[in-house]
Amino acid sequence: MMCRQVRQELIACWGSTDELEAAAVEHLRVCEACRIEAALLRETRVLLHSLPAEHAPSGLTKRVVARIADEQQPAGWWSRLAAWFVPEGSPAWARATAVGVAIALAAVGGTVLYHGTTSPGPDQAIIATTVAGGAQLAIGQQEIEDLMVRHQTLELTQPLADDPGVHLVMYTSY
Amino acid sequence: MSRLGRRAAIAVAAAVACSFALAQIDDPLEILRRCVSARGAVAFAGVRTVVIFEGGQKVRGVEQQMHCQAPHRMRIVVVAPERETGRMCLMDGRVHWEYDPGAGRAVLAQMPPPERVLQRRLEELDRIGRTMRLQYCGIETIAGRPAHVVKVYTPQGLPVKKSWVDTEHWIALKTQQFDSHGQVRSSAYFTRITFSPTFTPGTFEFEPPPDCAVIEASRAPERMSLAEAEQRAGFRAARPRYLPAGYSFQDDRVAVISISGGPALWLPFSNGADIFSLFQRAGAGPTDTLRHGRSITWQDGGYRFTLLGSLSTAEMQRVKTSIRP
Repeated sequence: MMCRQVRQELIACWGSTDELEAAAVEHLRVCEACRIEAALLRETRVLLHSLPAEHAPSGLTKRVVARIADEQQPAGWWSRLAAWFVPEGSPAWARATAVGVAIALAAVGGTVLYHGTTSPGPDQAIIATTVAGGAQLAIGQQEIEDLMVRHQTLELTQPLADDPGVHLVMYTSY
Repeated sequence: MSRLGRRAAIAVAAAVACSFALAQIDDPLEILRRCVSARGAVAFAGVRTVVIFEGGQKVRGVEQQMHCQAPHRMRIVVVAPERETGRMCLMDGRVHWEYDPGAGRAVLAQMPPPERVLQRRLEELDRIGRTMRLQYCGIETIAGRPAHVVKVYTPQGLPVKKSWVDTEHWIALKTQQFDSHGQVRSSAYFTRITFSPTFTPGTFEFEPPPDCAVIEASRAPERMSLAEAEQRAGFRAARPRYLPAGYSFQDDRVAVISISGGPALWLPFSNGADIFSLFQRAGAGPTDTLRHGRSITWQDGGYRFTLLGSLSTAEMQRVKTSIRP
């Protein structure tokens, strides 16, 4: 492997040899210049992460999420229904007439087809079950995370246990 | 005696004294005792690599920057790989923070008083000295520093832990934990360390960012015998029939905790270096087996079980299968 290729890989992983492929690791073993390059990159990263963290202004996330929600909010049912019958850009009176006719037709059709049942359709039932299952799963995960913290606290009291930094890596899902 | 001669004599005496001091400390239990006592009592800063293995294959590797200030202040921050940078844990002796910026989450846990933890660890270590096999393996160099090498085995000869302990400051410069097949399960080693650190103000302080979810962990419960815990919980514990080599049930350290308003038994199993927990509560939950991090949760015979710890996935499964309520 050439020095140039190895250095490109080193830049991608900030000089950490843990993520390099075997050929690059072998190259580092014999090339001092690249080893120095790797050490400098690691040092740079450590210095960067030594800087105190800058916190985002209070409420930034909420404001950004709210803005995204606003921008993604679908148009009202009136506009969507009108757009279905009449092309975008048509005069307002044409769109209003189209919606009025559609509502009238739907009312007549609904009366004819009504069978007297108000139970949710099968699709609705499936959606309800899925939501309940998801909530149950989320509660289950919260519960397990609480147990995980309890367990780690106990583990730290073991005489030969590693410090919390090792647990930080050990107990991350992968 | 000439000045040169005196200097030579002093140098020889110092070398002899030094080698005598090193030669005196080759008792593995004493080295581990000093290592346990040094945690939180010695200031240092360094960079280390932590690698996790599964079945002998590397599955994760991170680089961490570590700062320790006596007494009991510690800050460990992940600095590589990029996707995990900024994850950290911070301790001041009583409070333990774990912060994950990617998840926007910080977990706050109250720790028992450090003096009590140290006393407990030293007592347990003496027990390990009686029940496990300890071996002194000489001196090796880690991060440019000489380190005593100590290995801990089960009575059957299976390795549990290997430690490289600094000969001067008694801090573990490298550790390896082994799984129940004798393969390395985790390895943590310093690549750079200084025992004359300077800390910038605020190094050991942590304020969760405004939009971060803060989760407060439950306090440590009272520990008791299995019989007493079963009586308090109102049901019998289902214990695994299979335990990985070197592990035993800590029958005097059982606890009853509350999960979703109901009592749950907490059974710990330890080999001295590692511990895994089995939680058992009555009642229904999701019928599917749920895997989350290093845990398995399942439902059997009217009970819900959660098994969690640093065992390999295969060992977790084997322990799970051996539990019959």
